[in-house]
Amino acid sequence: MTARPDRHATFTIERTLPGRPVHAWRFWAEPALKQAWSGCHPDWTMLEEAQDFRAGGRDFSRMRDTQGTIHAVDIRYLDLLAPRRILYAYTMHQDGLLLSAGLVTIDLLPRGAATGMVYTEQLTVLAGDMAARRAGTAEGFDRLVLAMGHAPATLH
Amino acid sequence: MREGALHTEPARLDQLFHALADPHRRAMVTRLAQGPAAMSELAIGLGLALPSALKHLQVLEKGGMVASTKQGRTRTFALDAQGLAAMQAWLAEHQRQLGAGFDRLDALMRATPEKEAP
Repeated sequence: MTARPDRHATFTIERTLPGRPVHAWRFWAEPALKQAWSGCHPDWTMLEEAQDFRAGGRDFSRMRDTQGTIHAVDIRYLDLLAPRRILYAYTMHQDGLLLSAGLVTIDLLPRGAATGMVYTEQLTVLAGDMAARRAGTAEGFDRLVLAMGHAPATLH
Repeated sequence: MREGALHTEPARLDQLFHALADPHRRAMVTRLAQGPAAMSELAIGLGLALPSALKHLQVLEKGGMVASTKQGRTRTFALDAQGLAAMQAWLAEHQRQLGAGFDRLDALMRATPEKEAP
């Protein structure tokens, strides 16, 4: 069996968050606080939403972007250990097409008056058929270039 | 999991960002996203001399963004056929969005008074 490097990835993001783990925990546990930082597309239309922050609970959102594409994120909380660890599985769909599935572990470690957050994600990326993947690649590069603060160069 | 680490270790991402830091190379990637192209076509499109175009393409190839094949005297470049480039771009964008979210989380935690310990 050979893992496909274009399908599977694991990565970790580490941050020091201001406030103790009990403070950080509220920003996942309380729907209004969670929404305030995790919802990043003010120009998208929310079509369906559910938040149930408990083991076995589902955190679901379905949104329409300005181009009419439907984006769905479906989280299933697998285990919650307040205020130390959050473990969930999730999928991302675009227009009904499964883009990715992931397993996320968030550790919140006491660090004096602050919290050391370790976000670990194990991902399977299914970008669909090759046409969808190619389109996604071009779009991905465009966004990447934008994110880097450069205007894309053009061919003459 | 080694393969996954390959794409996300900082050195790898540095290579990706270095590869895309140049406007000529970004233009090449934009062009190749439409389909494969011969080196000469890429050079002419950008008004570059062939050796200069080759240097840029080698940086992109080293960064895992493109792959090349040679038939006779023609070298053709394409976005990496295994989808590694797609995966890298997808992952970079995914991680950028996560990072932006954690920036907002940080700001919101600072702006929200911490409850007293029980």
